[in-house]
Parts: sequence; structure tokens; C-alpha cells
Amino acid sequence: MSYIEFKNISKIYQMGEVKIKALNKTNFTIEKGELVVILGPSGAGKTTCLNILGGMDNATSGTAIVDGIDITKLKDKELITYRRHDIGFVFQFYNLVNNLTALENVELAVQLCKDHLNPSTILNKVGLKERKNNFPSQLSGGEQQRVAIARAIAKNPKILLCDEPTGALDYKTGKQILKLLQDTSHNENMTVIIITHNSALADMADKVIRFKNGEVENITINKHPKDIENIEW
Amino acid sequence: MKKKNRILTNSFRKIKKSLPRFISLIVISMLGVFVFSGLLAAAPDMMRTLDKYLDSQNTYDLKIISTLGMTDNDITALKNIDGILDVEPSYSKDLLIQINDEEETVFNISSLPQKINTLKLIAGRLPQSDNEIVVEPNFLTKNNLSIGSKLTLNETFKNKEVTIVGTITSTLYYTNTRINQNRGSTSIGSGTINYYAYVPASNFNQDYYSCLYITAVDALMKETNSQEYNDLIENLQKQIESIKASQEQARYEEIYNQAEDEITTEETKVTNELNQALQKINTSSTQLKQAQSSLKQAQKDLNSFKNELTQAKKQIDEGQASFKEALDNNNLEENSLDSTLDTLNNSIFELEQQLSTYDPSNPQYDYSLQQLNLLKKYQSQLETLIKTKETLTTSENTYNSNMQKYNSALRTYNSNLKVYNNNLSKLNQAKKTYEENKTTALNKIADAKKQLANIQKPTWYITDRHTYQTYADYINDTESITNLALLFPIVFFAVAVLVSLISMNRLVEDDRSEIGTLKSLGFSNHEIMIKYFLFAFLAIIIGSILGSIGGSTFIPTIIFNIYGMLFDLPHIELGLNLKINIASFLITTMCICGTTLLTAHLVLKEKPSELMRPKPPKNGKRVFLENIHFIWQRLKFSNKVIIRNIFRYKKRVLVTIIGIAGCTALVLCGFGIKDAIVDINEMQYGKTFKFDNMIYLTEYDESQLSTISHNENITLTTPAMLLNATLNDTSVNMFITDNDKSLANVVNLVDCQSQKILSLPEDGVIITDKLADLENLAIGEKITLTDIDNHSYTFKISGIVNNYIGHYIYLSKSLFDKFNENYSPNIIYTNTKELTADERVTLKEELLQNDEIRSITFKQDLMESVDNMLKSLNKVVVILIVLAALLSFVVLYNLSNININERKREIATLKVLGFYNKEVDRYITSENIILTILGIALGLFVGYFLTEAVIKTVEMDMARFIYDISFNSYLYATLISILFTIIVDQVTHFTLKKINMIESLKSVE
Repeated sequence: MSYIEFKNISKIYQMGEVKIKALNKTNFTIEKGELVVILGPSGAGKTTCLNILGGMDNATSGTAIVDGIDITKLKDKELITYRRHDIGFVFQFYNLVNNLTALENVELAVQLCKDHLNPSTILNKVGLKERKNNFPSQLSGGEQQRVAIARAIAKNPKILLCDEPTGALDYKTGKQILKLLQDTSHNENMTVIIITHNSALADMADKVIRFKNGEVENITINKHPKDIENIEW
Repeated sequence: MKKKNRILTNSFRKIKKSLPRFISLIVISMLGVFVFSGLLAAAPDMMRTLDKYLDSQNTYDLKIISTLGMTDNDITALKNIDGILDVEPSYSKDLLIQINDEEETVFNISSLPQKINTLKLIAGRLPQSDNEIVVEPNFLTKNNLSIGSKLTLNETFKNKEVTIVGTITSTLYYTNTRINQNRGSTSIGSGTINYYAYVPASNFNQDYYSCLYITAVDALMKETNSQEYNDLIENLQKQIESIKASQEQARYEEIYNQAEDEITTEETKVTNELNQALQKINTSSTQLKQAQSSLKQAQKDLNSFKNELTQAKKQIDEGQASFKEALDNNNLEENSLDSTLDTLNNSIFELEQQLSTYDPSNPQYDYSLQQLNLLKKYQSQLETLIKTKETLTTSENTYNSNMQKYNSALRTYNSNLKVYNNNLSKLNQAKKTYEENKTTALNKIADAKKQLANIQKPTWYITDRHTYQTYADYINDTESITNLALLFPIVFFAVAVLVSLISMNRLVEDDRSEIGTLKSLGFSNHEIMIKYFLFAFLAIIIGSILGSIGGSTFIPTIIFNIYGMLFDLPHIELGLNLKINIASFLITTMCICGTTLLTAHLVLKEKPSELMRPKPPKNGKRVFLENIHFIWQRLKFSNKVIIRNIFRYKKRVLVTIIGIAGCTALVLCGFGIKDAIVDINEMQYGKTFKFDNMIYLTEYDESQLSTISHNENITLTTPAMLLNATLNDTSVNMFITDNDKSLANVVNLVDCQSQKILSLPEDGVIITDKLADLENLAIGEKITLTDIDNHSYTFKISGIVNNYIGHYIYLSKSLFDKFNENYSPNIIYTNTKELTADERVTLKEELLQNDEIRSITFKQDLMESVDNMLKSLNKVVVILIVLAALLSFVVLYNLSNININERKREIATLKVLGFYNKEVDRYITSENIILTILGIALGLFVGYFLTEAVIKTVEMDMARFIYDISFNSYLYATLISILFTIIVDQVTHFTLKKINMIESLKSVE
């Protein structure tokens, strides 16, 4: 059995009288420690998929098993616990708490779980040794995203979910962030799932899942993923 | 085609979209207007109520009383004044009437009015004849009497026995009598008029009018005590003042001339009487003199008569003596003279017979002749003797009869003399009486003349409605409500400004990019601003209308009902107080639209390019506390976040604190007002006064005291003298007692500064604190009081003591005696055993059997009436709590909504990170809790001063409120504020729960 299994997951939004099928019977599996890139144009259902996987949204039907637990059966509170211990999120717009310094933002996440990593060490690892005590507004976009990644990793989650992590960043900085994520996956054996519409990133992944119109178009496995530094777009 | 204004479309859509914000703006403006217009409307509504009431019975505008009464002449003179509509005379008399053979009650009885101060008939009918009377309804209910009962008046009335034929109310009296049956003061009885009543004018035995009531032209059209009304009346008063002197002079002359005429008539009468008396005396004097001279003549005659008699007596005696001698010489017995003569005559006859027989020559003859001669000689002697005897007898008889005459004359004389002497002493008596009468009469006339000179010129007292204490009180009270109206709404308006500042700021900030777009499209700042202005303005209009309607309906009614405890007036006349409503609308508009335009202006100043970029989030900042490492490091992480947040959103924090503080202050104020009054009873009748009841006396004597003190229920009796007096128009009770100990039995004189018990000084008086406050008096100063009989007293103040109801001046008998007044107790204070209500009634009935007892008041009766008043104050507390609750909901809900909206992303992030709902709640609400604590602390502080200010404004002149807010009130205020915060937090909880993680994380707007 795979680490993550999506079985016939459907998500239907009821918008007044109109039903919108965001996901239509999607199936895929992800193994532990894999770096997965989910590709697809806007509205293909990739974010919905990520939300369900991240415990932020419920599937309309189907089962999603993460490390042996069917998260579609979890109640609201159990979902929070799931998010709390098993999931690390990285957002397009970083979503740092502006009022907290880099270190404190990491600490904020860390205070939630017992089996966490040292916030300071993590920040060193993401290359923010000197910027730990700066507030988000004093950091560049890339630095903020590093803090966000550090905040996600520090919880020592089972899965690191990244929603367009480079969407708001310039090319160079974006590359640095993707590098960080790739390294984290390989070095820490962390399951990392990155959502992007940039198909160039397919080469860096262990597994690429392509979405189209709410369905999985295809799944490709890279036996030899490229190092991000060698990918140009 | 008409162009559609899409700015307006946008504006209305915005309102629809931000409905909660719009509604909260409506509520906040409604609250402000509600409180402001409501409190402001109370005073005019109350004045309108009074005005309508007074106008309904054509109540007087001016009243004239004179020290020598008023006359028809005065009425004629007054009617010539242009501004006067009507003048109506009235008779009036205060008198004591005994009811049910028990208590004596003081009545003011007036003549039935014709046009001015007309009566409102409540039951029965008006009097039609002199033996009928109408009374106030209270009188019947309080004394268990009914129409048809009879009353006995005094001799000032032609008809003393009158029957009650109806009940009426007069607009001259509207003091509420539930607490105290007081219809004004008087110089008789207890000093207080208890009831009023009316009889026909014809029943008054009085030749002058007691007063004149005047109505002014146009006065009915003007509201009483309005500036116009007061000007009109003042003007009219001045006009009357102009005829005052001449009318006073005329009345003086009238009375003077009348008195002078009376004196002259009296003088003539007296002089005539005296002259007649004198004439009589003179006549009798002359008669007596004649009598005297005739008496003298009579005496003289008597004396000569007596002399004659004596002379005659002497002659008779001499004749008798010589006769006796002759008898003796002839050896004769007086009684045998006649028989001897007969014998002799016989002998002579025989002898002559013999002789004739004898011849002369006969010797015998000679001898016989000789014998005969001898016999004849003897015979003549004898005959002489008999003659003498006869003469003697005759003169003796004459003498005796004269003697009798004399004696009778003497008797007549003596009786005449007696009569004379009698008459003489009578005359002397008459003379004396005459002199006395003359002196008295002359003195009397002299006195009368002196009095005539002493006749004081009368003084007119022209008074307006203000002279009626209740009218003045009512106006004072309405003014203090107006003052409240300027105090409370400040809290609401301040909060309204702050809330709208935050709320509108948020509204405008939310629209940054839209504003930027509109600007870049070429709309002017004004056009863009319309949206926000409309948003605020529509909210204010709706809020103001709701607030005005609610405020000017509820608040005046409730306030009027509370004051109904003091005033007996019909239902409140709610009216449209357009000025007030517009004023409060304008103030609200200024507050809210002002802040709206200001915020909008600040944003509109920015360039479109800046506006279209998202506003950089507020920078995180270190707070000073972080520099104090040993504290900062010890803080829990979440606490650090809270502290930093508090310092980050200063404006919001400030408004939240002020909002909660306002709420707490209002609640505290409500409870504080209650505290200020609720203990007055206990403080006055428990801590200050020690007696259990007061027995008012008509007359004092020791035996009565012992009757009372021997009653088994009475444990202590203390006689004292209680006088009504005034000090600069403030009514004061003078309490006079003969020793310090008896004072200590009745009252605790607790120094208002040191709280020590004072004793009564010999040379000064102790006054109560509120009096000292009102009149600005200090220890050592002198005060001058005037009692009901116009005696004035000047005292030195030597102490000021705690007191809560009424004003008292305590002084010793020895000090009082210095004013040459008679100390005579008119009240007995007693302490009783613990008695139930029934036992008190029994005791009262028992004691009232005693004729010298006028009335009895238990302190429970007094306390009960004050308690009734307090009940109405609970309403005030409830109003304030409701207002406070509304205020705190609006503020807290609004602010926490804004807070959440501003931090949606942050909260969503937390949720994604795996914060449980509770943890998210805590993250947001712990801020609120800290703010609540700070707000409450500030609120209690501000509330203390607000309460003090409010109490000072509403405090009555006759009572001292307690300024100590109890611990419980602080506690309640705190708890209620906390409760409101908790409720708002619950609402926040649902808002937080509803935040959609996914939506809010997607992108920055």
C-alpha cells in the first residue's frame, strides 16, 4: 500500500443551483519521501486536490488514505489534528504572521506539536541565520517564503504541501526556493507535493501528476529527476 | 438617454454588501440620538405638561397679597392696566379642623374661584350654599371620610357647620402628597398646611380680600417659564409695581380715615357721655347744697324749738314746784283739791246759809262771817290752786305735744341728714367715677390716636408662579435633567465618533484598489467620496429617526414617572421637539460624517498607483517590553503575540478600551445613583435619628409626658421644641432642647469632618451639612433665621453634622431664651419597643385619645415613603444598564468584526497550521479579554467621576445623597461588562469559525 492513496475522489461545489465538479473520480498514489509535482492549468482541480489532501476541505465522495488513515472519514476536529501534526503548508503568498519575527513565525507553528524540530536550526538550514529576528515586512519575498517553508518543516510533518510556492517570486528566487524544497525532500526523506502551472518543473519531480478538467490526465515517474539548477524556463 | 450614476449604484451595493457594518453605524447613531434627544426632550416635555395643566384651569400668572388685605378699589385700579386680562379676588384662611375627634389638621380654605384657578371636579358637585364645602380627594381617602361628611369651621366663617359635597383638585397645588401631606406652610398648628378646601365666598366673615389673582393677556399662548412668558410676566409685574405705591397709599388712607372717623365718633360720644355725667353731678351737687342749707335751717329751728321747749319745761317745772309748795303750804293733796273745794264750797254754802240766818249782829255772825271770809279766802286760794293746776296741766300738755313735735322734727331732720350724707357720698363716688371714666376715655382716645399714627403703610407682595415652591422645584428638576442631557450623551457621542472612525476607516481601506481604479478613470475626489458619505449619512438618518422616536418617547416618560413621586401632574405631554431632534441629528452627523470624510480624505490623497497596489500590511514592531529581557523571556509565546498585537493596533485597542470603559462607567453610574439614595433611609432614620416616633403636641405639660412615658410600649420620651424657620428662603427646622442629654436621645450629632459625636454648645448652634453646602456656611460664621411669626434669630455656627433628609439647626434652650421667646415643647420624641405594624396602629390610637396630642408619626411611615421613591430609581438603573449593554455590543461587535476582517489571512493561516477552534478563539479573544480588563479598570475610574457628576446634578436641595459607591456596585459593573464581553466573544467565535481557510489564503486582494 502506498503512503498516500487517492481513490475515486470527487469534489462538487454547489453554487446556488449550479453544480461545479472540481474533481471527478481522481485516483493516484504517492510514496513516502517522493517529490511530487502536480501540474495543470487554472481550474483543473489541482488546488482542490491539495486542499483535500491538506485537510482543509472535504471530498464529496471517494477515499483519501494518508499513512493508513482515511482522511475523508475524519471529523472537523480530527482534521485539525491531522493538519496540526501531519501537514506542512507553503502558500503562494507566504501567509506569515506580520506581527511575528521570522523565528517567532516558526515558533508559532512549533508550539502546536510535540515532535517538532528546533526552529532556530531550521531557519539556519533555510539560510536565514542572520534574519531570524526580522519581521516579515523587513524580509524579501524569497526570504519570506523560506520562513514559510521553515515554518512548515519545523512541525516535522508527514507531508509538505506547496501551493504555487514560487508564484509570487522572481525567477532566481523561485529557483532557490524550489531547490530548498528538493533538498528537503531528498535529504530529509520528506514527502513534498508542489502545485504549479509551470510544466518545466516536471523534470525536478520523482512523480508528475497532470490534471485537466478535474481529472488526472496522466502520471509520469521520473527515474532520474533533474536537479533544479539544471532546469531552465 | 439619461446617464445612470453608477457611483450611486456602487454606493447602494456597498451598503447591501456591508449590511452589518451599516447596521452597526445605524445603531451607534441611534444610541447617541436616543440618549441625547431623549434626555433633552424630557425637560421641554415636562414643562409643556405643566403648562397645559396650569392653562387647563386658567391658573394665575401673578398674585398680589397685601399686609392690609386687598379691596375692590385695587381691583378697579388693576383692571385699568393694559396687560391684565382678568383680576379675581379670593378669600383665604388657614385653620385647624378636628377630624374624627382625633388629630387636628391644618386646612387652607379659600373662596370658590370664578374664572382664575378654576377647580377640576373629581366627584360630587361644587358648593351651592354657605353650608357646603369641597375638599381635595386625598382628604377623604386618608381620613376615611366620604361625600356627605361634616366639618366644623371656626368663627371666621358665617356658617361653621359645613357638609362635604364634592372633591376637587386645584392647579394651585401639585406637590405629590404620598410622602408628606404638605400644602405649604402656615403660622398655625404644626406649621404645615395639610389640605385645601373651598367654600362659597359668601361664607367668609371678612371685609377685605386675602389676595388677588391676575391673569396676563397672551400668557395662555406662552409656555410657562419660557423666556417669553417670564418676560411678559416681568413686564406686567413692573406695570403693577407702578400703581403699587398709590394703591398702598390709598389703602393706607382708607384704613387711616376709617380708624380716624371711628376715633372721632368715639371721642364725641365719649365727650357727650362725660358731659352728661358731669351735668348730672353738678345738678345733684346743687340739690345737695340746697338740701344742706335747708338741713342747716332745720337744725337751727330745731335748736331754737328745743330751747323753747327747755324754757317751757323749766317754767313748767318751776310752776310745778311752786304749786307743790303751795300745796305743801296748804297741806293739800293735789288729787284731793277738787274734793276739798267741793267740801269747802259746801261749807261756804252752809255757812252762808247759816249766816243768812244769822243776823249780822249776831256774834255768831261775825264769827261766821269771819269764818266765811276765811273760808272764802281759802276757797279763792284753792280755786287759784286749781286754776294753777289746770294751767300747769295745760302747759305740760302743750310741752308734751311740742316735745312730740320736736322729736318727730328731729327724726325727719336725721333722716334728711342721712339722705343728704348718702347723696353726698354718692356724688363723691360719681365724681370719682367720672374722673376715672374721663381718664380712661381720654387715654383710650389718646391710645387710639397713637395707634392711628402707628398704622403701617401696607405692602403689596406681587408674586409670580415661582413663589409656589413646587413650581420652582419642578423647574429646578427639569433643569437638572437638561444638565444630565449634556453629561451622558458625551459618552455616547465619543464612542460613536471612535467607532465610526474605525469602521469607516476600514470601509475605505477595503476599497483602496477600487478607489484607485475610480481615480484612474478620472472621477474626482468628491464624486468618490459620495459613496462613503452616503453610507454614513443614510445610516445616520435612519439611526437618528429611530433614536429620536425612541428617545423622545421612552426617556421623557420614564423620567416623568420618576418625578411623579414628587409632583402630582397628569400624564406627560409628549411633543415633537424638532429643535432637539435636529440638533442631535446634526451632532451625530458631525461626529460620524466628519470622521468618515476625514478618513476618506486621507485615503483619497494617495495617488491612484499607490492605491491600486495592496496596502503593505502593518509592520510588526518590537514593543518596549521586549527590552526587558527577564520579563519578555518568561512570557508564554502566545502572550507575547497578544502583547505585540495590542501595541500594533493601537487605534482599535483604544476604541475598544474606551467602549468598554463607557459601558462600565454607565453601569456603575446606574448602580451608583441607586447607592446614593438607597441608604439614605438607614443613614437618616437608623444612624442619625434615634427616635422611633414623633408625637406632635397642641399643648405641653408634665402630666402628659408621664402619661406617655408610662405607656408600656414606650421606653424613652424626650420633649423638645421644633420650629419652622427660613434661612434665605430655605426651609429649616429649628430643634431646641433643654439639655444635651435629651438631644443625644433623639439625634446623633456626628461631625461631618471628623465623624466624631458633637455635643450641643451653649453659645452656638449646630447645623446640618447640606444646609451648610447650600448656603456656603462654615463654622464660626453667623446666620440669621426668620420664623413663621417673623421673629429673627442670629446664631453663631459652632458645628456642622451629617444629615440626609431636610435641614436642621440644633440649639440649646438657654441660647433660645436669650431671644425672649418662650421655650415650650411642642413635640415629644419617643423610643418604643419593637412593634409590628399592627401594634404601631394600636399604640397610635391609644395615644391619640389624649387631647393634647395633635398627631403621631412613626419613623417607619417616613421610611416607607422614601422607600417608595427609591423603587422608581431601579428603573433608572435598568435604563442605564440597557443603554450600556447596547453600547458595549455595538462597540465590541463592531471592533472585533473589524479586527477579524483585518486579520482574516492571519487567522486562516493559523487554521491551516492546525490551530483548534478554541485556540483560534483564544488567540483573538485573549486580546479582547485584556482590553476588557483595561476597559473595565478605566470605566470604574471614569464611572466614579461620572456618578459623582450625575448625583450632583440630580441631588435635591432637601436631601443629601451618599457619594460612596458601594463595593457591590463596582462588582456588578465589572461583572456586567464581563458578561457583555463574553456574549460578544461568543458571537466572535462563530465569525471565526466561519472564516474559510482556502478562500482567504488564495491571494492578496
